[in-house]
Amino acid sequence: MSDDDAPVWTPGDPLLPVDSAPPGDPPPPIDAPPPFLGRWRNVYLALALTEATIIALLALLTILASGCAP
Amino acid sequence: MTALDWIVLCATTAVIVGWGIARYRGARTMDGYLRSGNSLRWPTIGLSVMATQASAITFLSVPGQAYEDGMRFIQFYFGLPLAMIVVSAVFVPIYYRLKVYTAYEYLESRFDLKVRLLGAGLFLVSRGLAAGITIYAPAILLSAILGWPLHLTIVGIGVVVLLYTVVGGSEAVSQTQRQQMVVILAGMVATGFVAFGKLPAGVGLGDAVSLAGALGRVNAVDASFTFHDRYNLWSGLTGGFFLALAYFGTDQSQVGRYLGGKSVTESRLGLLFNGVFKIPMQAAILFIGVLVFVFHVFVAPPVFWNGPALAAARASADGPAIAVLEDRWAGDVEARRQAATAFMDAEHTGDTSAQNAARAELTAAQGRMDETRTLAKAAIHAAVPTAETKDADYIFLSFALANLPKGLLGLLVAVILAAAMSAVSAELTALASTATMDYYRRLVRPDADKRHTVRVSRLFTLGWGLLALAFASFASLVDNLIQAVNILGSLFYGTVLGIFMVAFFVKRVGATAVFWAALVTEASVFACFLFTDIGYLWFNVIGCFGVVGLASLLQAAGGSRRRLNPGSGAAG
Repeated sequence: MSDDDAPVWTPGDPLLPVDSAPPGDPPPPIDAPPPFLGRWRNVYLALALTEATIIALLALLTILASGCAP
Repeated sequence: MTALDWIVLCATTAVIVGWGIARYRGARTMDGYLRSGNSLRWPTIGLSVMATQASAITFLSVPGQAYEDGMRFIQFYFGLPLAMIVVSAVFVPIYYRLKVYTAYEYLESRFDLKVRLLGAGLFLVSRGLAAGITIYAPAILLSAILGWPLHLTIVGIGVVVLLYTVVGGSEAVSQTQRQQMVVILAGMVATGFVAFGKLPAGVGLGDAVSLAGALGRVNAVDASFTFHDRYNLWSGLTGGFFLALAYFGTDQSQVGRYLGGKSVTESRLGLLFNGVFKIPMQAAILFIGVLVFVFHVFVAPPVFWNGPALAAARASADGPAIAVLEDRWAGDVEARRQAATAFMDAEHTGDTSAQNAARAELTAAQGRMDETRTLAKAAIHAAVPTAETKDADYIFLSFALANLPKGLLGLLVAVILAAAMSAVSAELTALASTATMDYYRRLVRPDADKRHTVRVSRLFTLGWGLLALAFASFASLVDNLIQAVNILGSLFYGTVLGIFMVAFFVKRVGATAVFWAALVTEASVFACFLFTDIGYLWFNVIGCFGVVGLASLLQAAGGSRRRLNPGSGAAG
């Protein structure tokens, strides 16, 4: 069935036809907020972790170069 | 410079400038001239954002900073990646949704005209002054190399930058910055290898790091906390975060770079690219300064790096006193060299007690050198009161002139010129965009068509360029250029950021409250600068929280919600 053949939704109809709803979890409410930071969350997390690693390496370099290493 | 250096310099510069002019002289539409026609992909945006921040000052001043003060300046950048995340998540979608040309247009839609004009005005003052300092740095370089008067090289650089900025506009700036950044990175990598190769035989990379560490130059992270200390982990993470947030989120010279992106995704990726590579790039440049320092542990440095000033002092009536200090300096340098050799010998043999003794002697010798240098600076100032006695920005330049092989010196000069052109042209474009869109088109000619607007933008670019040239004449008064430009920014950025923070996150505050809060906070930041010794990075925190807190208080006291515009809050 092409998109043109799909039944037209009218107010009062369920948001999805009952037989096309995925099994398991109920569909989210229509005005639910997007997940925090959306699909970029993992990208931002990766950048924050990269930065933390760089700072840790610089701290290690500082300690080793100062001659204070145990 | 040799003929080969000149060929490399002229060819590199001509290709970049010629390419920018030839390809983008047709930028006649308002979108193309001011917003790059929304055509840029993320690699161009990322490199353009980096090139805008990395001016010639970065390559002249930062290695000198490392030579004098070690690598601790790197902590200044620790807040930058986190700021990139916030700008990417909060600022970029809002600017795109409102289809603004300048960041300050948003302030009118959220508050009112007076807040927009205040934000734009604070930007114009701070960036207009900073553009002068940005032109000054490469002018020092050319003056030293060519032996031309400084004011002549300031004008020469200004004319080259103005030419292709006025002709090409924002798109030419962004596109040529990509080439400039490639040249810059190649030049710095080559210079780093040369600096390492110039170390004496038997001094490896590990020895250089140990030696520099023993003399306090590998102090990249300092976890101790004081408000007076300019660079430590905490001021970097907090003050640096607010400074970067203000710079990348509200400074039109940066906003203009990523507003030219093809989509929100392209702009975000460009900013995150900057977040990933900024700290490693700055650490590498600082490390070049550390290598130059280690080189001069074994090869005697001058007591004063500004050669013309030292020569003038020698030739003055105080010449004999200067000679005495230079003799004392030579003895101190030799003592440090011997202590350094003993330190490395002890390290190679693994003799810990000998190494500790050598470390103590090394530190003491460095202390005597610092003392002699302070005396020499005072003597030079007394001998030639008009001579510029701030010499940190001459350190890397002196090393390059004396040690880089044929051709590479030309490439380094091209690097510094490219960096100057990219930073100054981005600043001029941003100043012109703001003056045109936030003042001229808003107040003088709201009905101006797009062709007229582009013409006016070109005239503003020219005008700001000439003003920057005038400001550049005063830049010799500052101590260290990289610090000066950041102190200047920190005086204004916190307040501007505070205005945007209120706009995004404190929906109940209206225009009048934020306007007066910004004015009072700006005066308070200036008072902190003039009458306290608080490290300048904290001004960004004080300014931001000052505006947010005071505006909230004023709004609560006034109780008025008339200026609310609830449809324009923050978006993810």
